[in-house]
Amino acid sequence: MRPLEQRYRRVLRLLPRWYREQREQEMVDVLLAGTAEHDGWPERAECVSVAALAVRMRVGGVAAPPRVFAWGQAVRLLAVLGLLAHAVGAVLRLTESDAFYRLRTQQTGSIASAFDLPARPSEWQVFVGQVLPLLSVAALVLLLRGKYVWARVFAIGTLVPSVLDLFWHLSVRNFSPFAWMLDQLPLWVPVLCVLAGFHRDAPPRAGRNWMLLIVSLSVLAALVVSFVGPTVPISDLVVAVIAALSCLVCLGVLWRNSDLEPAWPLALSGLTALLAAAQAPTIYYWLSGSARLGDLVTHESGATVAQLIIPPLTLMALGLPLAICGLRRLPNSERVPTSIA
Amino acid sequence: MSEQAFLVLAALAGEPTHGYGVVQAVAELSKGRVALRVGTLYGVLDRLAADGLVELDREEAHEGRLRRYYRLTNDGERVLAHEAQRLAENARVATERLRQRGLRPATGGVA
Repeated sequence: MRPLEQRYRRVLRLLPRWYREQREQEMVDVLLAGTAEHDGWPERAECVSVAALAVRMRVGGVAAPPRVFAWGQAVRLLAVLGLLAHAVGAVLRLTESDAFYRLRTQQTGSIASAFDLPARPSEWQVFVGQVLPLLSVAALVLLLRGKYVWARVFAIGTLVPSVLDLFWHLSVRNFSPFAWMLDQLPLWVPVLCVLAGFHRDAPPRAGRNWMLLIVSLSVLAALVVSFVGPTVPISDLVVAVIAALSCLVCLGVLWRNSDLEPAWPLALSGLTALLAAAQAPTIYYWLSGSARLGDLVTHESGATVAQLIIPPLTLMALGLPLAICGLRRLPNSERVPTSIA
Repeated sequence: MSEQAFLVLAALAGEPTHGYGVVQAVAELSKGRVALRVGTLYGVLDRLAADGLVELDREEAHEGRLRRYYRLTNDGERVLAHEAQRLAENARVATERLRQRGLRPATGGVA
């Protein structure tokens, strides 16, 4: 075997095994045909196209085997639910902001004057932190309308505040990148799921079937906010809604003869894991300030300890059985579709 | 339908063709504008096969490796004909509009 062929075969290992078994020989034939030199290096553009195909085949699209397609649906649902959580949070933060208050109370004047676009960097950071997260609303709508390319662009835009936050933290003493990463996981993972899951082979308007639930959740969240108002932090509200949804899916899974697709328990177990992980840094910093948990209970009120520890434990208690149920419901075979066999 | 999928269907409209043959035909049909990479080619072929527009014709050994030939199905022919007609109609309308404004697109745009 010539060196170039060996190198191309190494690149093709990016593809899933079931796909490689069907396609490797003819793909090598295409890659080597027309190449005069047989000891050179693979073309970068070919490697990129194989890597992109590998993502599409692993996060299954319409031509993937049932099991791979089910994983793909779970990734896409996690993306939609994660974006929904961001969208709700972004809208609520905006309605609580000073700028929104000024906008509501002004009889005349433009949005720009209401926001009073500032010259000082610190206020720009506030502006970026309140307005750019609203791109998640646009990304969600575009996903549900099947405009995947633009949805990916807008989803990336929602990460800008997080990147700026990272740059700001890099100049802070005792900055822990690991803790920052855990804290930002619920933001980054859904966006990465949008990029990986809503590719050109994804089912058209994959999120349309989930629209009803999403609208119901949004109405539910709005009702909860109108009742409890600003007394409940947004992050707690999002955790509560995700936990409530997880409970509903648990009931659905336990229901006899339920035809609930595995994407739901898998996506929700992923979300609960993300939210639980995001609370780990807070607990770590809190615990590291005290010698023992006993000291905490002695010096802090029991309510504070419970407020800190119970949400992640509840999420984990919900997420674990959901993950097991989801994995059990996955189709068994990685049967290769007849279309490519 | 994407331009790549349209060009792959057009490449297969003549006779059953293998993967590298499709790459060459698409480059020729698009006058070198579209260069299909292997990941893109097989992504498009998988999608067209899943939609029933393309199917396997035969397999041959070539320099010790498998070479698969693909052909259009009847549905593939119908879809390609419909798409070609639609594009031709769009091009006719656009050309007519340009002529009304005294422009000649066939010679590069500006009269």
